[in-house]
Amino acid sequence: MSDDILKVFILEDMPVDLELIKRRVRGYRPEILFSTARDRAEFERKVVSFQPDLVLSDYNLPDMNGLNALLHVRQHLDATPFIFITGILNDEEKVAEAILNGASGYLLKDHLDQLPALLRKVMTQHRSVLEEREKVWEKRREHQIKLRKSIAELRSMSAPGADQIASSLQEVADDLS
Amino acid sequence: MQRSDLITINDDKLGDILSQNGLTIILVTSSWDGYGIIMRSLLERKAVEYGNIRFCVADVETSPKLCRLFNVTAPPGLLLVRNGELIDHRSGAMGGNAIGDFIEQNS
Repeated sequence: MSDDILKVFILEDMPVDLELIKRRVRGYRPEILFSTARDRAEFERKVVSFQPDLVLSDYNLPDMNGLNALLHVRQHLDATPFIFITGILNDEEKVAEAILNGASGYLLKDHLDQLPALLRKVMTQHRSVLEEREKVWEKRREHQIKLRKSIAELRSMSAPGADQIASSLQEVADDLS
Repeated sequence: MQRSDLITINDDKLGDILSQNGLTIILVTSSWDGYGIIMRSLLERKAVEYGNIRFCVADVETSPKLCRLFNVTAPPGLLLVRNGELIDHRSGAMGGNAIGDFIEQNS
């Protein structure tokens, strides 16, 4: 999590609700990079590669249950904060299930004005986890850059076998990225 | 064929990028990135064709915040941003047709 720009993924199929949520998130912090999805396929295609600092998800979507989204995030993005923002969550068992499965919180859409305060609380709780993730990511980036620069230098050499070695290293670099 | 220079950006320009209302395409590359050099040339031509899209280029080594924000670990990377949202992205080499399709699908 960068000091000043937060990465927020929103899973929401209603465009009006999506814009309202975005506005409230900006109330917590003005500089945000969003990524959004309206259905399961788009969500599964985008969320992991986006590497969000936070996921906000509707509970009832046309082609998926919000719990499936939570489980997907827990499986692929471990401790990323995940908050349900939903119109209806009138079943106490569902609330308990959401929390037991690792949701960081939930909020009714009627109470979106409380979102900035909830975000402040959740992001503070998860700060050290996200900072650690950022360090690991930066290390991976440094290694990728060193490896690819070396490959480029190797390709520019006219030494016998250099191109073959460069191609093998390129495969390794591509697999690691 | 006509070309238009890409706007060079870095970490200091992130706020500008996120506040832009229109479409912005960002190539993340470096001077030693062979594929990126070719893609830059292709994008310079696209910049003339798509006058309503902002075409930018950033260096993978000197823009660590930008790379972290858009999850670019290695060049080349192509990003499409609109109204503070990452609309689409691609990693790795892309030819002219693939770049054209990428722009058309998202503009």
